[in-house]
Amino acid sequence: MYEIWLIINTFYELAMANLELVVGILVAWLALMVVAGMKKTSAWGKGFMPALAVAVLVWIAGFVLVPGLTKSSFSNVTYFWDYLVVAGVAAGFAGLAAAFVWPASLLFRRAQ
Amino acid sequence: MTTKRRQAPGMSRRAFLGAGTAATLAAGTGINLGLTAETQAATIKTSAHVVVIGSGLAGLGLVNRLRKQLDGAKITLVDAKKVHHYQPGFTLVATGIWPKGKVSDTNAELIPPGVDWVQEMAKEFRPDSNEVVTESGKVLKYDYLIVATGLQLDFGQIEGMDINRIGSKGLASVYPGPELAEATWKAMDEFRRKGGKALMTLPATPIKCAGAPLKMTFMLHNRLEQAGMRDRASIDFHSAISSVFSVPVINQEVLNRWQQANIPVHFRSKLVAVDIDAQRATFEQEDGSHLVEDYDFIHIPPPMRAPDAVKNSPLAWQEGPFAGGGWLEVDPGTLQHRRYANVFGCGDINGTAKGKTAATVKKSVPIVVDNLISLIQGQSPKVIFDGYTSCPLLVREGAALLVEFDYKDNLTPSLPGIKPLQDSYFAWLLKYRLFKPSYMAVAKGRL
Repeated sequence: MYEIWLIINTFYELAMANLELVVGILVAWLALMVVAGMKKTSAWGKGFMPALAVAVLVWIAGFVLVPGLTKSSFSNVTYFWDYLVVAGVAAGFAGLAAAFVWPASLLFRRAQ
Repeated sequence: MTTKRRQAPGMSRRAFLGAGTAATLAAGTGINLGLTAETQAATIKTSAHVVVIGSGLAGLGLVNRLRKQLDGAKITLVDAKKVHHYQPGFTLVATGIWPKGKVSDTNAELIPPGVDWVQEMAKEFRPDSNEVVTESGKVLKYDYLIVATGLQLDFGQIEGMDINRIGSKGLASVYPGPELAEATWKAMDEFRRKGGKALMTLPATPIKCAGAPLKMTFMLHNRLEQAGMRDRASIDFHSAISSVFSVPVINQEVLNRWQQANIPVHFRSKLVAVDIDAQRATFEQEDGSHLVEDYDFIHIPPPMRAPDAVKNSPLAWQEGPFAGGGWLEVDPGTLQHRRYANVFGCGDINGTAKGKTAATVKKSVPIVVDNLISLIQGQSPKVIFDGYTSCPLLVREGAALLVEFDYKDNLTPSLPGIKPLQDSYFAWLLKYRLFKPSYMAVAKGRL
């Protein structure tokens, strides 16, 4: 249980240290959600597959790129915990991408 | 005096996870939900006056926890410092990885409301009359005292040393502060462009972040390799003692790596003088003779000791290996003073076998608070500190070893599967990105 608390607190403080970025992303996402939600016939289910596809692509790209983005390189990813952490960080980016693509894809569909 | 428990015993897993999710979401909005680890900690009513000396990580973590856990207590924090430095980040600044701006915060933002902050240094301890005297002569009476002063860098033991010249003439030291850590990087960067002879040193005294001199050595080697200058530079390590790290298995691992990296180690070779202009260092050898070495770059971790206020007080060890440095005489398990029962020690000032690191502080702050609460309740301190400490030992830019150990030199990985001797990206990421946020949570009394 302590480990969960440690992780929550670490990410909380990380967010606090990057508050402008976090708030900016959150506001942009909420705005996107509101715009998408205002469409009377928004078919949210149809946004799932594009969001999933983008998430998978971002996760793959993230898995390769995350070490380099943190002043390291993939050659330093050598054992279980390294792979787990890289996969986890990449999953975070993938989730973020999916969160944006889901509502955005609905708007794109309507524009068509 | 009553004791009550908050929330946690009856808190369901779902409720806890819900609270956690809420806290994470709150992070995005800047809303502090006031959720703390103390949801599982004892809170007591007391009118006791607790004085905490020092506003480093230990002092800040202590006052934040005490404010939450001692209902009705008067809490006083004594320290003149207004800026709080994230000292574990100094090695990152000194090796060109972080800018210096990342390691400084203001104390005022980290001290909770309700704590009386006396912005002076403690000058004298009078434990027989339960008093602390500040530099201005103000006398503070206390019921309980926690000494968390940190330690004193004693560059004065090295003849000719002048910290104001760090950054020039190849003179470097990661320890004195962010500006001089940045100056150290300037000296290292210059050296890696020109090459030459580097001397890395280790003093004979206990030091804080004992891994820092090793990290600086690994990183100097790495920076030279990156610049394609390793074959035009030599690196020698002079240790004033018979090892480079106190944990035998880690010591041997480092020595093996340095042998492969062509970094010879000279044991029992103590830096006693430096001629900055001539770029010449003098080392006292085991037989008392002096070895004089020219250098182009020298890294100097200074000898360290207790601040004078502690060293010259009855609180210091009176005999034994910690007496010379004037370290605080605490029981290594309970962290309670061995002769003054209403005094505790926390952090670098403690005269214990190991642990002058932020990781030790993180683990020992809750122990000191719990044991203080026991004492206030008329009980004996119950919680025993095992000496846990940790060192993310940078071995190059992008990789580190995650070394964790206790008083008995046992390796004590926090997570299953962690390999302390394995070069690791995970350990690097912790050091590079994740330790500072967790450090801030410790300072705020949540971890």
